[in-house]
Amino acid sequence: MTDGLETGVDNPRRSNLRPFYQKESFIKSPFKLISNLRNYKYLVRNLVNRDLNQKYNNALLGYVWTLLEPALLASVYYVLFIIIANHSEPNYPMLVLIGVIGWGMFSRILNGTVNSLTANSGMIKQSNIPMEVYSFSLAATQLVITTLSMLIVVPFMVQLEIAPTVNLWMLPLSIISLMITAWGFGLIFASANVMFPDVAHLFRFITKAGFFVSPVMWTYEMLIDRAGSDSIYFDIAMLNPVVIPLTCMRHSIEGTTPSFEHIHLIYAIIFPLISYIIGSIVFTKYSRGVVTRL
Amino acid sequence: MKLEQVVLDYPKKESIVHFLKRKLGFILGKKSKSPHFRALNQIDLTINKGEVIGIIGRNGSSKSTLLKAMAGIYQPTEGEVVMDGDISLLSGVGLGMNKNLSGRENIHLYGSILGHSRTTMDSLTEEIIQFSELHEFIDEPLRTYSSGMKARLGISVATAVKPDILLIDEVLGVGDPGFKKRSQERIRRMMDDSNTVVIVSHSFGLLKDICDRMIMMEKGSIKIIGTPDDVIAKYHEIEG
Repeated sequence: MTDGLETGVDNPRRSNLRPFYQKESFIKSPFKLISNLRNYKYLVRNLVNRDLNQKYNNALLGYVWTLLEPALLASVYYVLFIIIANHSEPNYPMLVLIGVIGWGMFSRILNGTVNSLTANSGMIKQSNIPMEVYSFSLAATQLVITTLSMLIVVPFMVQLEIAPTVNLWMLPLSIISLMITAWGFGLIFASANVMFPDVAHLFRFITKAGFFVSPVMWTYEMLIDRAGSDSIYFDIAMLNPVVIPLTCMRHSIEGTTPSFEHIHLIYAIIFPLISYIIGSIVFTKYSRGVVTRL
Repeated sequence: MKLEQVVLDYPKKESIVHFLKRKLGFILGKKSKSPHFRALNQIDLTINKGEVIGIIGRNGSSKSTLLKAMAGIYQPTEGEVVMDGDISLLSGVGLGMNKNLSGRENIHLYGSILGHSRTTMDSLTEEIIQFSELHEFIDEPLRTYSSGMKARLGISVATAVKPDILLIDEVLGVGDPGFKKRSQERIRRMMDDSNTVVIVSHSFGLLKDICDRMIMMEKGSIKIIGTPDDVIAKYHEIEG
Protein backbone atom coordinates (compact mmCIF):
# COMPACT_ATOMS: atom_id res chain seq x y z
CA MET A 1 0.00 0.00 0.00
CA THR A 2 1.37 3.37 -0.91
CA ASP A 3 0.89 6.33 1.28
CA GLY A 4 -0.59 8.76 -1.16
CA LEU A 5 -2.31 11.06 1.25
CA GLU A 6 -0.16 13.95 0.15
CA THR A 7 -1.06 13.59 -3.51
CA GLY A 8 -3.77 16.21 -3.37
CA VAL A 9 -2.03 18.24 -6.05
CA ASP A 10 -5.17 19.12 -7.93
CA ASN A 11 -6.73 20.66 -4.86
CA PRO A 12 -4.11 21.69 -2.34
CA ARG A 13 -6.62 23.87 -0.53
CA ARG A 14 -8.32 20.82 0.87
CA SER A 15 -5.44 18.87 2.30
CA ASN A 16 -6.70 19.20 5.84
CA LEU A 17 -6.33 15.75 7.29
CA ARG A 18 -8.47 15.48 10.35
CA PRO A 19 -9.64 12.60 12.46
CA PHE A 20 -13.31 12.09 13.12
CA TYR A 21 -14.20 12.49 16.75
CA GLN A 22 -11.46 14.82 17.78
CA LYS A 23 -11.15 14.75 21.50
CA GLU A 24 -12.47 18.15 22.33
CA SER A 25 -12.89 19.72 25.69
CA PHE A 26 -16.45 19.39 26.94
CA ILE A 27 -16.54 23.15 27.44
CA LYS A 28 -16.84 23.47 23.65
CA SER A 29 -19.96 21.26 23.40
CA PRO A 30 -22.58 24.01 23.83
CA PHE A 31 -20.95 26.01 21.03
CA LYS A 32 -20.37 22.98 18.85
CA LEU A 33 -24.06 22.13 18.91
CA ILE A 34 -24.96 25.65 17.79
CA SER A 35 -22.38 25.67 15.00
CA ASN A 36 -23.57 22.26 13.79
CA LEU A 37 -27.13 23.53 13.65
CA ARG A 38 -26.01 26.61 11.76
CA ASN A 39 -24.22 24.46 9.20
CA TYR A 40 -27.35 22.40 8.75
CA LYS A 41 -29.91 25.19 8.96
CA TYR A 42 -31.25 24.41 5.51
CA LEU A 43 -31.88 20.82 6.55
CA VAL A 44 -33.60 21.99 9.75
CA ARG A 45 -35.81 24.21 7.65
CA ASN A 46 -36.70 21.38 5.31
CA LEU A 47 -37.40 18.99 8.17
CA VAL A 48 -39.68 21.53 9.86
CA ASN A 49 -41.43 22.04 6.55
CA ARG A 50 -41.81 18.27 6.16
CA ASP A 51 -43.23 17.81 9.65
CA LEU A 52 -45.71 20.66 9.31
CA ASN A 53 -46.78 19.26 5.98
CA GLN A 54 -47.12 15.82 7.50
CA LYS A 55 -49.28 17.16 10.29
CA TYR A 56 -51.70 19.10 8.15
CA ASN A 57 -51.67 17.28 4.87
CA ASN A 58 -54.95 15.62 4.00
CA ALA A 59 -56.66 17.28 6.93
CA LEU A 60 -59.84 18.95 5.82
CA LEU A 61 -59.41 21.89 8.14
CA GLY A 62 -55.62 22.09 7.86
CA TYR A 63 -54.24 24.84 10.06
CA VAL A 64 -57.60 25.32 11.78
CA TRP A 65 -56.70 22.25 13.80
CA THR A 66 -53.76 24.13 15.33
CA LEU A 67 -56.26 26.54 16.84
CA LEU A 68 -59.05 24.09 17.46
CA GLU A 69 -57.05 21.47 19.31
CA PRO A 70 -55.97 23.61 22.29
CA ALA A 71 -59.34 25.37 22.32
CA LEU A 72 -61.26 22.10 22.62
CA LEU A 73 -58.88 20.82 25.27
CA ALA A 74 -59.11 24.04 27.23
CA SER A 75 -62.91 24.02 27.17
CA VAL A 76 -62.92 20.53 28.67
CA TYR A 77 -60.56 21.62 31.45
CA TYR A 78 -62.62 24.73 31.98
CA VAL A 79 -65.84 22.82 32.49
CA LEU A 80 -64.02 20.40 34.76
CA PHE A 81 -62.66 23.25 36.83
CA ILE A 82 -66.02 24.95 37.25
CA ILE A 83 -67.45 21.68 38.52
CA ILE A 84 -64.57 21.21 40.96
CA ALA A 85 -64.00 24.77 42.12
CA ASN A 86 -67.58 25.86 41.75
CA HIS A 87 -66.64 29.38 40.72
CA SER A 88 -64.85 31.17 37.94
CA GLU A 89 -63.30 34.45 36.92
CA PRO A 90 -64.02 35.89 33.48
CA ASN A 91 -60.36 35.62 32.41
CA TYR A 92 -60.01 32.04 33.51
CA PRO A 93 -60.88 30.23 30.22
CA MET A 94 -58.21 32.22 28.40
CA LEU A 95 -55.64 31.53 31.11
CA VAL A 96 -56.32 27.81 30.87
CA LEU A 97 -56.00 28.00 27.10
CA ILE A 98 -52.59 29.67 27.33
CA GLY A 99 -51.54 27.09 29.89
CA VAL A 100 -52.64 24.24 27.61
CA ILE A 101 -50.72 25.66 24.66
CA GLY A 102 -47.53 26.35 26.62
CA TRP A 103 -47.53 23.09 28.52
CA GLY A 104 -48.42 21.11 25.39
CA MET A 105 -45.38 22.50 23.63
CA PHE A 106 -43.13 21.82 26.59
CA SER A 107 -44.18 18.20 27.03
CA ARG A 108 -44.10 17.41 23.31
CA ILE A 109 -40.59 18.81 22.92
CA LEU A 110 -39.36 17.04 26.05
CA ASN A 111 -40.78 13.64 25.05
CA GLY A 112 -39.79 14.13 21.43
CA THR A 113 -36.21 14.97 22.31
CA VAL A 114 -35.84 12.03 24.68
CA ASN A 115 -37.11 9.82 21.84
CA SER A 116 -35.27 11.62 19.05
CA LEU A 117 -32.53 9.04 18.55
CA THR A 118 -34.74 5.96 18.69
CA ALA A 119 -37.43 7.55 16.51
CA ASN A 120 -34.94 8.52 13.79
CA SER A 121 -32.80 5.39 13.96
CA GLY A 122 -33.28 4.70 10.24
CA MET A 123 -31.88 8.06 9.22
CA ILE A 124 -29.17 8.10 11.86
CA LYS A 125 -27.76 4.76 10.72
CA GLN A 126 -27.59 5.88 7.11
CA SER A 127 -26.32 9.42 7.21
CA ASN A 128 -23.73 11.40 9.10
CA ILE A 129 -25.93 14.36 9.91
CA PRO A 130 -25.18 15.72 13.40
CA MET A 131 -27.79 14.02 15.54
CA GLU A 132 -28.93 17.11 17.40
CA VAL A 133 -30.57 18.19 14.13
CA TYR A 134 -33.44 15.74 14.65
CA SER A 135 -34.49 16.95 18.08
CA PHE A 136 -33.88 20.58 17.23
CA SER A 137 -36.07 20.46 14.14
CA LEU A 138 -38.76 18.81 16.23
CA ALA A 139 -38.48 21.63 18.76
CA ALA A 140 -38.57 24.22 15.98
CA THR A 141 -41.69 22.59 14.51
CA GLN A 142 -43.38 22.80 17.89
CA LEU A 143 -42.33 26.43 18.16
CA VAL A 144 -44.04 27.22 14.86
CA ILE A 145 -47.19 25.34 15.85
CA THR A 146 -47.28 27.09 19.23
CA THR A 147 -46.88 30.51 17.66
CA LEU A 148 -49.77 29.76 15.34
CA SER A 149 -51.89 28.37 18.18
CA MET A 150 -51.38 31.52 20.22
CA LEU A 151 -53.46 33.40 17.67
CA ILE A 152 -56.53 31.84 19.25
CA VAL A 153 -56.22 34.16 22.24
CA VAL A 154 -57.08 37.11 19.97
CA PRO A 155 -60.85 36.50 20.02
CA PHE A 156 -60.64 36.10 23.82
CA MET A 157 -58.80 39.40 24.11
CA VAL A 158 -61.47 41.09 22.02
CA GLN A 159 -64.25 39.58 24.10
CA LEU A 160 -62.57 40.47 27.41
CA GLU A 161 -61.65 43.92 26.06
CA ILE A 162 -57.95 43.42 26.73
CA ALA A 163 -55.75 45.71 24.67
CA PRO A 164 -52.25 44.48 23.81
CA THR A 165 -49.59 46.21 25.90
CA VAL A 166 -45.81 46.45 25.90
CA ASN A 167 -45.80 43.46 28.25
CA LEU A 168 -46.18 41.33 25.12
CA TRP A 169 -42.38 41.27 24.88
CA MET A 170 -42.46 38.58 27.56
CA LEU A 171 -44.40 36.23 25.30
CA PRO A 172 -41.70 35.22 22.78
CA LEU A 173 -39.13 35.17 25.55
CA SER A 174 -41.11 32.81 27.76
CA ILE A 175 -42.02 30.52 24.85
CA ILE A 176 -38.38 30.28 23.81
CA SER A 177 -37.28 29.68 27.38
CA LEU A 178 -39.80 26.81 27.61
CA MET A 179 -38.45 25.41 24.36
CA ILE A 180 -34.81 25.58 25.46
CA THR A 181 -35.62 24.03 28.83
CA ALA A 182 -37.46 21.10 27.23
CA TRP A 183 -34.90 20.56 24.48
CA GLY A 184 -31.85 20.89 26.73
CA PHE A 185 -33.33 18.68 29.41
CA GLY A 186 -34.36 16.11 26.82
CA LEU A 187 -30.85 16.05 25.33
CA ILE A 188 -29.46 14.90 28.67
CA PHE A 189 -31.52 11.72 28.45
CA ALA A 190 -31.73 11.04 24.71
CA SER A 191 -28.64 8.79 24.61
CA ALA A 192 -29.63 6.99 27.79
CA ASN A 193 -32.99 6.22 26.22
CA VAL A 194 -31.23 4.20 23.52
CA MET A 195 -29.60 2.03 26.17
CA PHE A 196 -32.70 1.79 28.34
CA PRO A 197 -36.09 2.40 26.72
CA ASP A 198 -37.45 2.74 30.25
CA VAL A 199 -36.30 6.35 30.15
CA ALA A 200 -38.99 7.23 27.62
CA HIS A 201 -41.65 5.56 29.77
CA LEU A 202 -40.44 7.52 32.75
CA PHE A 203 -40.66 10.79 30.83
CA ARG A 204 -44.12 9.99 29.53
CA PHE A 205 -45.15 9.57 33.15
CA ILE A 206 -43.35 12.74 34.25
CA THR A 207 -45.08 14.84 31.61
CA LYS A 208 -48.48 13.33 32.44
CA ALA A 209 -48.07 13.99 36.14
CA GLY A 210 -46.36 17.28 35.41
CA PHE A 211 -49.56 18.54 33.88
CA PHE A 212 -51.12 18.72 37.34
CA VAL A 213 -48.17 20.24 39.16
CA SER A 214 -47.73 22.88 36.46
CA PRO A 215 -49.89 25.98 36.16
CA VAL A 216 -52.16 24.72 33.40
CA MET A 217 -55.47 24.37 35.21
CA TRP A 218 -54.34 26.62 38.05
CA THR A 219 -52.41 29.86 38.09
CA TYR A 220 -49.48 31.22 40.03
CA GLU A 221 -51.77 33.70 41.79
CA MET A 222 -54.12 30.88 42.89
CA LEU A 223 -51.09 29.09 44.29
CA ILE A 224 -50.15 32.09 46.42
CA ASP A 225 -53.77 32.51 47.52
CA ARG A 226 -54.19 28.92 48.56
CA ALA A 227 -50.78 27.91 49.80
CA GLY A 228 -49.42 31.28 50.93
CA SER A 229 -46.06 32.52 49.76
CA ASP A 230 -44.22 31.33 52.86
CA SER A 231 -45.40 27.73 52.89
CA ILE A 232 -43.18 24.81 52.00
CA TYR A 233 -45.64 23.71 49.28
CA PHE A 234 -45.15 27.00 47.52
CA ASP A 235 -41.37 26.58 47.57
CA ILE A 236 -41.64 23.05 46.22
CA ALA A 237 -44.07 24.09 43.49
CA MET A 238 -41.68 26.82 42.42
CA LEU A 239 -38.96 24.24 41.73
CA ASN A 240 -40.98 23.35 38.65
CA PRO A 241 -39.13 25.20 35.85
CA VAL A 242 -42.27 25.89 33.81
CA VAL A 243 -44.16 27.86 36.48
CA ILE A 244 -42.57 31.22 35.71
CA PRO A 245 -42.53 30.97 31.89
CA LEU A 246 -46.20 29.91 31.81
CA THR A 247 -47.15 32.68 34.23
CA CYS A 248 -45.24 35.20 32.13
CA MET A 249 -47.09 34.03 29.02
CA ARG A 250 -50.38 34.73 30.73
CA HIS A 251 -49.38 38.12 32.08
CA SER A 252 -48.00 39.21 28.73
CA ILE A 253 -51.40 38.61 27.16
CA GLU A 254 -53.36 40.13 30.02
CA GLY A 255 -51.05 43.14 29.98
CA THR A 256 -50.27 42.89 33.66
CA THR A 257 -46.91 42.65 35.36
CA PRO A 258 -46.24 39.50 37.37
CA SER A 259 -44.52 39.77 40.74
CA PHE A 260 -42.00 37.07 41.49
CA GLU A 261 -39.47 36.70 44.23
CA HIS A 262 -35.96 37.43 42.96
CA ILE A 263 -34.68 33.98 43.75
CA HIS A 264 -37.43 32.39 41.64
CA LEU A 265 -36.77 34.74 38.77
CA ILE A 266 -33.06 33.95 38.80
CA TYR A 267 -33.95 30.24 38.88
CA ALA A 268 -36.20 30.67 35.85
CA ILE A 269 -33.41 32.36 33.90
CA ILE A 270 -30.66 29.94 34.92
CA PHE A 271 -32.63 26.70 34.50
CA PRO A 272 -32.86 26.76 30.67
CA LEU A 273 -29.20 27.74 30.36
CA ILE A 274 -27.99 24.99 32.68
CA SER A 275 -30.25 22.42 30.99
CA TYR A 276 -28.88 23.37 27.59
CA ILE A 277 -25.25 23.34 28.74
CA ILE A 278 -25.52 19.97 30.48
CA GLY A 279 -27.69 18.61 27.67
CA SER A 280 -25.22 19.58 24.97
CA ILE A 281 -22.26 18.16 26.90
CA VAL A 282 -23.95 14.84 27.63
CA PHE A 283 -25.36 14.56 24.12
CA THR A 284 -22.03 15.31 22.42
CA LYS A 285 -20.24 12.83 24.62
CA TYR A 286 -22.59 9.88 24.33
CA SER A 287 -24.83 10.16 21.27
CA ARG A 288 -22.36 8.86 18.64
CA GLY A 289 -21.41 5.93 20.81
CA VAL A 290 -24.94 4.58 21.04
CA VAL A 291 -25.54 4.44 17.26
CA THR A 292 -24.53 0.77 17.17
CA ARG A 293 -27.30 0.08 19.68
CA LEU A 294 -30.04 1.62 17.54
CA MET B 1 -8.47 8.81 3.93
CA LYS B 2 -6.81 6.53 6.36
CA LEU B 3 -8.08 3.88 8.76
CA GLU B 4 -5.74 2.93 11.54
CA GLN B 5 -6.32 -0.24 13.52
CA VAL B 6 -10.06 0.29 13.41
CA VAL B 7 -12.06 -2.01 15.63
CA LEU B 8 -15.81 -1.80 15.92
CA ASP B 9 -17.92 -3.75 18.36
CA TYR B 10 -21.66 -4.12 18.09
CA PRO B 11 -23.19 -4.56 21.50
CA LYS B 12 -25.33 -7.63 21.96
CA LYS B 13 -28.60 -7.56 23.80
CA GLU B 14 -28.08 -7.96 27.48
CA SER B 15 -30.71 -8.78 30.06
CA ILE B 16 -31.16 -6.33 32.89
CA VAL B 17 -30.12 -8.98 35.42
CA HIS B 18 -26.93 -9.59 33.50
CA PHE B 19 -26.30 -5.90 33.24
CA LEU B 20 -26.72 -5.33 36.97
CA LYS B 21 -24.51 -8.31 37.75
CA ARG B 22 -21.81 -6.89 35.52
CA LYS B 23 -22.09 -3.44 37.07
CA LEU B 24 -21.95 -4.98 40.54
CA GLY B 25 -18.84 -6.87 39.51
CA PHE B 26 -17.37 -3.62 38.26
CA ILE B 27 -17.93 -1.96 41.61
CA LEU B 28 -16.31 -4.92 43.34
CA GLY B 29 -13.31 -4.53 41.08
CA LYS B 30 -14.00 -7.30 38.57
CA LYS B 31 -13.72 -5.93 35.08
CA SER B 32 -15.83 -7.55 32.39
CA LYS B 33 -16.77 -6.17 29.00
CA SER B 34 -20.34 -6.00 27.87
CA PRO B 35 -21.31 -8.80 25.48
CA HIS B 36 -20.49 -7.77 21.94
CA PHE B 37 -19.95 -8.88 18.40
CA ARG B 38 -16.79 -7.75 16.65
CA ALA B 39 -17.95 -6.25 13.36
CA LEU B 40 -14.65 -4.74 12.29
CA ASN B 41 -11.40 -6.30 13.32
CA GLN B 42 -8.15 -4.36 13.06
CA ILE B 43 -8.81 -2.62 9.78
CA ASP B 44 -5.76 -0.84 8.36
CA LEU B 45 -6.38 0.92 5.09
CA THR B 46 -5.05 3.92 3.24
CA ILE B 47 -7.10 5.27 0.39
CA ASN B 48 -5.38 7.71 -1.92
CA LYS B 49 -6.92 10.80 -3.35
CA GLY B 50 -8.68 10.11 -6.64
CA GLU B 51 -8.69 6.37 -6.12
CA VAL B 52 -11.74 4.19 -6.73
CA ILE B 53 -12.04 1.28 -4.33
CA GLY B 54 -14.54 -1.55 -4.58
CA ILE B 55 -15.54 -3.65 -1.60
CA ILE B 56 -16.94 -7.13 -2.05
CA GLY B 57 -17.79 -9.92 0.32
CA ARG B 58 -20.62 -12.14 1.41
CA ASN B 59 -23.66 -10.89 3.25
CA GLY B 60 -22.76 -10.09 6.82
CA SER B 61 -19.06 -9.65 6.15
CA SER B 62 -19.29 -6.07 7.47
CA LYS B 63 -18.92 -4.29 4.11
CA SER B 64 -21.54 -1.71 4.94
CA THR B 65 -20.28 -1.36 8.48
CA LEU B 66 -16.84 -0.51 7.12
CA LEU B 67 -18.39 2.12 4.87
CA LYS B 68 -20.33 3.59 7.76
CA ALA B 69 -17.24 3.72 9.92
CA MET B 70 -15.55 5.64 7.09
CA ALA B 71 -18.50 8.03 6.93
CA GLY B 72 -18.32 8.69 10.64
CA ILE B 73 -21.69 7.18 11.42
CA TYR B 74 -20.18 4.55 13.66
CA GLN B 75 -17.57 5.63 16.10
CA PRO B 76 -14.76 3.03 16.18
CA THR B 77 -14.38 1.21 19.47
CA GLU B 78 -10.64 1.37 18.97
CA GLY B 79 -8.43 2.98 16.36
CA GLU B 80 -8.98 6.04 14.28
CA VAL B 81 -10.41 7.17 10.96
CA VAL B 82 -8.57 10.12 9.45
CA MET B 83 -10.33 12.21 6.86
CA ASP B 84 -9.39 14.63 4.15
CA GLY B 85 -12.16 16.74 2.67
CA ASP B 86 -15.92 16.48 2.84
CA ILE B 87 -17.52 13.13 2.68
CA SER B 88 -20.83 11.96 1.32
CA LEU B 89 -22.48 8.61 1.87
CA LEU B 90 -25.07 7.27 -0.52
CA SER B 91 -26.88 4.57 1.31
CA GLY B 92 -30.51 3.78 0.77
CA VAL B 93 -31.32 6.13 -2.09
CA GLY B 94 -33.98 8.67 -1.27
CA LEU B 95 -33.26 8.56 2.44
CA GLY B 96 -35.75 10.69 4.33
CA MET B 97 -37.90 11.45 1.32
CA ASN B 98 -41.49 12.14 2.22
CA LYS B 99 -44.50 10.85 0.34
CA ASN B 100 -46.63 13.91 0.91
CA LEU B 101 -44.09 16.40 -0.39
CA SER B 102 -43.75 17.09 -4.09
CA GLY B 103 -40.85 15.77 -6.11
CA ARG B 104 -39.32 19.24 -6.14
CA GLU B 105 -39.57 19.62 -2.36
CA ASN B 106 -38.08 16.17 -1.97
CA ILE B 107 -35.09 17.17 -4.10
CA HIS B 108 -34.38 19.91 -1.60
CA LEU B 109 -35.06 17.73 1.42
CA TYR B 110 -32.87 14.87 0.25
CA GLY B 111 -30.19 17.28 -0.92
CA SER B 112 -30.05 18.90 2.50
CA ILE B 113 -29.93 15.48 4.17
CA LEU B 114 -26.84 14.82 2.04
CA GLY B 115 -25.46 17.99 3.60
CA HIS B 116 -25.85 20.53 0.80
CA SER B 117 -26.65 24.17 1.33
CA ARG B 118 -29.61 26.05 -0.02
CA THR B 119 -27.61 27.83 -2.71
CA THR B 120 -26.13 24.56 -3.95
CA MET B 121 -29.56 22.98 -4.16
CA ASP B 122 -31.15 26.01 -5.84
CA SER B 123 -28.54 25.94 -8.55
CA LEU B 124 -28.82 22.20 -9.07
CA THR B 125 -32.58 21.68 -9.05
CA GLU B 126 -33.17 22.18 -12.76
CA GLU B 127 -30.28 19.93 -13.71
CA ILE B 128 -31.58 17.24 -11.35
CA ILE B 129 -35.07 17.39 -12.83
CA GLN B 130 -33.55 17.24 -16.30
CA PHE B 131 -31.52 14.17 -15.48
CA SER B 132 -34.34 12.34 -13.73
CA GLU B 133 -36.70 12.96 -16.69
CA LEU B 134 -39.57 13.59 -14.32
CA HIS B 135 -40.64 17.02 -15.61
CA GLU B 136 -44.36 16.35 -15.72
CA PHE B 137 -44.50 14.80 -12.27
CA ILE B 138 -42.06 17.01 -10.41
CA ASP B 139 -44.72 19.08 -8.64
CA GLU B 140 -46.87 16.06 -7.80
CA PRO B 141 -46.62 14.48 -4.34
CA LEU B 142 -44.17 11.62 -4.11
CA ARG B 143 -46.90 9.13 -3.16
CA THR B 144 -48.06 9.22 -6.78
CA TYR B 145 -44.65 8.04 -7.99
CA SER B 146 -43.80 4.47 -8.85
CA SER B 147 -40.92 2.93 -6.93
CA GLY B 148 -38.74 3.16 -10.03
CA MET B 149 -39.47 6.88 -10.35
CA LYS B 150 -38.64 7.46 -6.69
CA ALA B 151 -35.34 5.67 -7.10
CA ARG B 152 -34.61 7.72 -10.21
CA LEU B 153 -35.23 10.95 -8.35
CA GLY B 154 -33.04 9.80 -5.47
CA ILE B 155 -30.15 8.79 -7.72
CA SER B 156 -30.40 12.05 -9.63
CA VAL B 157 -30.03 14.08 -6.45
CA ALA B 158 -27.36 11.87 -4.97
CA THR B 159 -25.14 12.07 -8.02
CA ALA B 160 -25.61 15.75 -8.76
CA VAL B 161 -22.86 17.11 -6.55
CA LYS B 162 -19.24 16.22 -6.33
CA PRO B 163 -18.03 15.55 -2.82
CA ASP B 164 -14.33 14.99 -2.15
CA ILE B 165 -14.97 11.52 -0.88
CA LEU B 166 -17.95 9.55 -2.10
CA LEU B 167 -19.07 6.37 -0.39
CA ILE B 168 -21.65 4.30 -2.25
CA ASP B 169 -23.55 1.41 -0.72
CA GLU B 170 -25.37 -0.81 -3.23
CA VAL B 171 -27.38 1.89 -4.88
CA LEU B 172 -26.39 1.61 -8.51
CA GLY B 173 -28.80 -0.95 -9.85
CA VAL B 174 -32.04 0.99 -10.04
CA GLY B 175 -34.29 2.19 -12.80
CA ASP B 176 -34.87 0.86 -16.28
CA PRO B 177 -31.85 -0.18 -18.35
CA GLY B 178 -31.62 3.21 -20.05
CA PHE B 179 -31.55 5.14 -16.80
CA LYS B 180 -29.21 2.64 -15.24
CA LYS B 181 -26.71 3.20 -18.00
CA ARG B 182 -26.97 6.97 -17.75
CA SER B 183 -26.60 6.99 -13.98
CA GLN B 184 -23.56 4.76 -14.18
CA GLU B 185 -22.10 7.19 -16.69
CA ARG B 186 -22.83 10.00 -14.30
CA ILE B 187 -21.20 8.23 -11.39
CA ARG B 188 -18.19 7.60 -13.59
CA ARG B 189 -18.09 11.32 -14.35
CA MET B 190 -18.16 12.08 -10.64
CA MET B 191 -15.19 9.79 -10.22
CA ASP B 192 -13.32 11.42 -13.10
CA ASP B 193 -13.37 14.71 -11.23
CA SER B 194 -10.61 13.24 -9.12
CA ASN B 195 -12.95 12.30 -6.33
CA THR B 196 -12.16 9.46 -4.04
CA VAL B 197 -14.81 6.78 -4.33
CA VAL B 198 -15.50 3.70 -2.26
CA ILE B 199 -18.20 1.36 -3.56
CA VAL B 200 -19.83 -1.61 -1.92
CA SER B 201 -21.49 -3.73 -4.55
CA HIS B 202 -22.27 -7.22 -5.70
CA SER B 203 -22.08 -6.39 -9.40
CA PHE B 204 -18.56 -7.52 -10.20
CA GLY B 205 -18.82 -6.41 -13.80
CA LEU B 206 -19.24 -2.82 -12.80
CA LEU B 207 -16.58 -2.93 -10.12
CA LYS B 208 -14.07 -4.48 -12.49
CA ASP B 209 -14.67 -1.62 -14.91
CA ILE B 210 -14.29 1.28 -12.55
CA CYS B 211 -12.12 0.25 -9.62
CA ASP B 212 -8.41 0.86 -9.18
CA ARG B 213 -8.25 -1.51 -6.26
CA MET B 214 -10.60 -3.94 -4.66
CA ILE B 215 -11.05 -5.29 -1.19
CA MET B 216 -12.62 -8.54 -0.16
CA MET B 217 -14.08 -8.57 3.32
CA GLU B 218 -14.56 -11.65 5.42
CA LYS B 219 -15.94 -11.73 8.96
CA GLY B 220 -15.02 -8.15 9.69
CA SER B 221 -11.47 -8.31 8.38
CA ILE B 222 -9.85 -7.45 5.08
CA LYS B 223 -9.22 -10.82 3.51
CA ILE B 224 -7.68 -9.76 0.20
CA ILE B 225 -6.68 -6.42 -1.19
CA GLY B 226 -5.38 -5.92 -4.72
CA THR B 227 -6.21 -5.29 -8.36
CA PRO B 228 -9.81 -6.01 -9.42
CA ASP B 229 -8.85 -9.02 -11.53
CA ASP B 230 -6.87 -10.62 -8.73
CA VAL B 231 -9.49 -10.05 -6.08
CA ILE B 232 -12.38 -11.27 -8.20
CA ALA B 233 -10.42 -14.35 -9.23
CA LYS B 234 -9.58 -15.14 -5.63
CA TYR B 235 -13.14 -14.48 -4.54
CA HIS B 236 -14.41 -17.08 -7.01
CA GLU B 237 -11.70 -19.46 -5.86
CA ILE B 238 -12.75 -19.14 -2.22
CA GLU B 239 -16.48 -19.03 -2.70
CA GLY B 240 -16.44 -21.67 -5.43
